[in-house]
Amino acid sequence: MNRVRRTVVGWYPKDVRDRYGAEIEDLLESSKHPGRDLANVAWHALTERRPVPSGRHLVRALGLLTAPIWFAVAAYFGYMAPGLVVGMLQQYGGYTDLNDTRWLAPSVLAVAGVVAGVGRRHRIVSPGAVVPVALTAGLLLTPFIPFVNLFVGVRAGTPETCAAATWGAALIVVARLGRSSAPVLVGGGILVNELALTVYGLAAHGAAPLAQWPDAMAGTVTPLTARLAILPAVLTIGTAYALGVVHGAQARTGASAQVAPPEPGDPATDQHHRDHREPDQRRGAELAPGQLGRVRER
Amino acid sequence: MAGLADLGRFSEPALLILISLADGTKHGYAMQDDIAALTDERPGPGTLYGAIRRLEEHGFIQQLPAADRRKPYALTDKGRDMLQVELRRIRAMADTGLRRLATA
Repeated sequence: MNRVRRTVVGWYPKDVRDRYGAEIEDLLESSKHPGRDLANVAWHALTERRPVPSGRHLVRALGLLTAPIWFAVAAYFGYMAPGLVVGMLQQYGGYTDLNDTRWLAPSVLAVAGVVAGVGRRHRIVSPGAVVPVALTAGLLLTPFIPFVNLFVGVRAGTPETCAAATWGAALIVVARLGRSSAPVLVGGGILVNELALTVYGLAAHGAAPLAQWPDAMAGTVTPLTARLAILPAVLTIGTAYALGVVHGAQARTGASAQVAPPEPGDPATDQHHRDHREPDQRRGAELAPGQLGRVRER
Repeated sequence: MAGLADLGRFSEPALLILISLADGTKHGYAMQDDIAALTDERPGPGTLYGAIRRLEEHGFIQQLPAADRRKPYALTDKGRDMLQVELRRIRAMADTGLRRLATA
């Protein structure tokens, strides 16, 4: 029953839950009509107004949803630059045995590093859920974007590149976090990649090629590897971005939890806390004991 | 001054909370008991804290520090003034209604 109560109270928006959650749970615990009161709390938790997202939030959400498209563009140009060098080496240097697809890995990893850094600075609500969902949605839309769709013809990378980059990012996260949530984060990232790859293959090319595995990958039935093209690179970069966002959020949470309490009488910290209290906290703190209930409105 | 009508569906429970706090500070459970005695209907926790939240936002009541998780609430000056205005309005409305019934 405790778990049910906690779950229902958890449906409130965070600010309400933080301020009144314990009191509401207390009333539910001592209720003489637990079923009715639980339904009452559930209804109010679901209908409690939530903060209206600002224009900045909407722009950020739009940026997140379209991020895979920009990753595809970045990966394409990341591929093109070394591709030009390799082409020149092949044409003028006589290095005809160079395989240009192998040059994609460093460029993808470089782009992945940049977007991971960008993602780390983003502040997104519930990034562990929002980022993978948004990336998956964006990846599914990417093949239908006319300009980006042009890249589908490019043999841009291999599943090994994707797997290596994902595990590389995962190892970095595990090492830096050192927390039990890291395996979940890493496993979730890989799972999202696999799901996106599968759904992409099924949606774009039908189930038939996948049913004839592994011939489909080798190209004897359907050149699936060529059609998947840049997707592994985009998935790699998307994973790096997702891990960057989540890691940044966790680092911020850890840093804020480790802030030492202010020393009493320290003017700087006292001023900081005066400025960051809720308005009602400010009023309460300025009450003398005999003035309770007679607060002068500001 | 904004009235309790601004609180929408919480205006009635908000009025009952203000009345409950008129004679001193109370925590949520005591408010439930007091309102149940006043109206024969015990407000659910969701209704109660939905109204408490809005009353706090409007500065009509004030949460006080507490040792345990039952936090007491008190009226503010603004809340006390608002309660007087609301009760006078209700009394004037009731007087008018009763007077009209008597003369009908």
